[in-house]
Amino acid sequence: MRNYVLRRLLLMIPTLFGVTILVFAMVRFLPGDTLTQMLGEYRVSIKTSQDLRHKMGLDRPAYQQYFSFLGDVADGSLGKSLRSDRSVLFDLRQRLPATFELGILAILFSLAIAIPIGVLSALWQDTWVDYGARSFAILALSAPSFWIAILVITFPAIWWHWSPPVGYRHIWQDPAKNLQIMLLPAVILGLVTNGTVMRLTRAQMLEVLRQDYVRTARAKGLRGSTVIVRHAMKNALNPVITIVGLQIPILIGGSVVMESIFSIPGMGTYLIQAIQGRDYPIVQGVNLLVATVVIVANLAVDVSYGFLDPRVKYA
Amino acid sequence: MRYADERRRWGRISRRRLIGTTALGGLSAAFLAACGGANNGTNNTKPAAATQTSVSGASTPATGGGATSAAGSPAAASAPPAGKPGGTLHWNMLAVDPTGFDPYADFNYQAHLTTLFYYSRLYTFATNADKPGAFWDYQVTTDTARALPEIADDGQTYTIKLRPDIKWQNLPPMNGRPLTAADVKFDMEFFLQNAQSRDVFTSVVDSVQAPDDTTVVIKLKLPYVALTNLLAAPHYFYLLPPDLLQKDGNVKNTHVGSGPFLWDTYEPGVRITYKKNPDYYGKPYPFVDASEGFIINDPNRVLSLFQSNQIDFMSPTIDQLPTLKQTKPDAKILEYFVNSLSFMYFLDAIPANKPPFNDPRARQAASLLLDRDGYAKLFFGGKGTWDNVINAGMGDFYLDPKGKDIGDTAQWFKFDPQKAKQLLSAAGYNNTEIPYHYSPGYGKVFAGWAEAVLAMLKEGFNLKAVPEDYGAYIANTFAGKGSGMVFGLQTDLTDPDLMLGRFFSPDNPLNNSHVNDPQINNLLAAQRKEFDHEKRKQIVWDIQRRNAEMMFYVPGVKGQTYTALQPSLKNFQPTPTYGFADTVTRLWLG
Repeated sequence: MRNYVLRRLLLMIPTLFGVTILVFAMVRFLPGDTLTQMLGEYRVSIKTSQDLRHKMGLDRPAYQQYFSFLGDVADGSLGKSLRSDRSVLFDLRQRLPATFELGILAILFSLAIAIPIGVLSALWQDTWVDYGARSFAILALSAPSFWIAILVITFPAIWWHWSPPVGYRHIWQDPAKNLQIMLLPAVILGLVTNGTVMRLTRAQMLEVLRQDYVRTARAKGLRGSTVIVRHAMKNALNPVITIVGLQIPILIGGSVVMESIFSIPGMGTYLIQAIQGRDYPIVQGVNLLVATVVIVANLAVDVSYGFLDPRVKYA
Repeated sequence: MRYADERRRWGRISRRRLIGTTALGGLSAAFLAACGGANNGTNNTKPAAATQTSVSGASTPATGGGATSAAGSPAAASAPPAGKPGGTLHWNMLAVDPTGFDPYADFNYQAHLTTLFYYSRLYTFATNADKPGAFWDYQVTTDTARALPEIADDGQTYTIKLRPDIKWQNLPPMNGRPLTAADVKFDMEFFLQNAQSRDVFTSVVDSVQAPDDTTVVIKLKLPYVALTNLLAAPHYFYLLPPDLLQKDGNVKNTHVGSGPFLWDTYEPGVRITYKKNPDYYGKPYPFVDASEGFIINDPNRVLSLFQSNQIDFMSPTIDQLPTLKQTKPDAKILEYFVNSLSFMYFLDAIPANKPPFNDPRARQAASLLLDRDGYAKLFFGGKGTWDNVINAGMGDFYLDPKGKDIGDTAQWFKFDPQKAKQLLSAAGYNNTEIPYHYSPGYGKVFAGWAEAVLAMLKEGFNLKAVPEDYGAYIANTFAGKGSGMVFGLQTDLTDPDLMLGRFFSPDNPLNNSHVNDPQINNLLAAQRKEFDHEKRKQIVWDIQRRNAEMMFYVPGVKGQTYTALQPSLKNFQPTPTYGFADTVTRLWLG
């Protein structure tokens, strides 16, 4: 196990190195640079423009800018915003808690709803419960989260003159207000994974419930709930954990939209603003961070197999 | 808040859209008078009335002595305005986070809009609540200055008298000390050396002197009529604390000014808050105790917050208006015309002498194919106004393409497809495919305009639509690079010289059609040094007529923008451009 984890961690280095090249290049393929976006149609002289470009380091050759970026990664600062001159790491520290909270709440909501429904759907296969649950899953999978979010924003305001409160507070500052603001987007974001997890849970349960050991457990006279919870679910949920791990990039993508619609000051809105302003260090830093999170999440999922299923051995 | 909303209305985040379409309006009431303290009546100075007019052309007669009085000037109103003090204003201040809070180092609307709450300027533009529905214009009024400048006969010396009661906010290191002419001198010199937006000033300002504590003398390199307007525009000169500039070289991390509000908090992505400055010189303003401006990027979210009474005002999009009226019948909705210009320009026609648009007849044909009334009916309920290369908000500097003063050149604004085809034939246009650029990045409303214009132009031209990402548009097409024709926008620059210079000065990087017309060049130079308003107006009209004849730029049509107010919000006085602090300073919560 230790060797396996070490090997995977070492493999992260070239992967992240590749990510740095990709994000560095891709953000520069976008038309316009920080300065042109910043000035828009306002007039400055060519000299002022050149001075500003020099100050921002945009007049340096691409390879020099790339090595500067690597240096910023190595020292952990991730560079400074070309527009605000603030450290990307400093900004991320302020933004990450909201994004993580949103993601965690979304996953918790998703699991809390999807697993019980998936199990019930399998237990009552081909009944109205099953049909209802499967329809819900299809709906959750097919309805875009931004559309649901807009509906949730729009109609309560029209019907009841109610809208989620504005003015985000961190959970440690004002837990009640924080949850009032975060709950709706978390539920909507959770729907994205809800359908997938529910359908997989149902399929796995159906498979496991037909296994000999489940039949044996029942034959031993164990209570139905014990058979389901201790014998069936434990084995059925291993692939579900994998899927949840794989949903993390989707959750991050979804959080960008949710943060924008619900005015949550997270990493998503930060990234959107940076892309619009062509603020290269921020785009690079956030993308590198997201890539790291995804890679680490995948590793964690893989490692968790060993704990959840003793049959899994790591070569 | 309307700036953010307006930006949203057109989509992406750009100062240009913001400024261009969000100007809150400034249909100033008469630029009342008493500009007189500046005029000492001696023969070596021009009276302010004769030399300084609002950009709309309203004269500002000098009355001699006393403070300048102008509608909306908090410092100079003749009678104390009635208003209910107290409360916190909640509003949608921005769609995106500011990139910084140094108005010299951050040449963008967010930095200017947010810092105007606590920094003063010498002049500002008058606010006005009396004429909703009209254009907002740019009537200069005093801020920390006591009157409009005295301008010497040679047009090269501006003498500005400061109010004697201006103090820096009672925060370290300024600690409430008086704001003096020496501070203004230091700031102006620092600005000329360091500010990102300094170019327009450095080209005209020679030196600054402070002969006494309340007198500032600005000497110019050449006569220049637009300096007062530039001093009032929120893009340029602010009164920053010299002690901090000397110490740090910038004010990126400090927030001490002399304006109506004190800086309170900034939470990225959430809110910017201010508290009332109890020592503000413009008492009884501000009325509200605090302002809580939210940073919200989604227009639906803003609407829902207004509907649920969580914000005090908003700027609805045209799409949102029917829903808003239905669900908030008690909301007061103000309607204003925007001052941004929509126009067509031609990328390589003039520099590369490339047909068909190197021939004025092809450019005239483009204008004749534009059904301006149909366009106004389609998008603005028939209320749109025909643009020229000057904002209609610039009052009598604007030459109405439908008016009699446009003369014979009116023919080039009329919808006449038949004549357009004849012109194209005469110009030898052989139906070559021409790229037609526009940026849907401005939002779906603008994209609709651009596509409607495209459909009209296709009656005569073989056009290929080239929709562009906003970044690509600004970096390339707006910079005049590429080939073909473009439908675009221009922000509401505040003085005819800025607008005409942007269109026609050969050395201006924003001259997208690459115009270098000797006749216009001479007229441009002439209007810059013409201090007689009537004469200057005639020159500015001549430039507009010349453009109408040559159609270097084909002006489009402009429409309305809206602001919705909660019933409890009183005395909402729109301001031109994004000097929004002036509006917040004057309103109160009932």
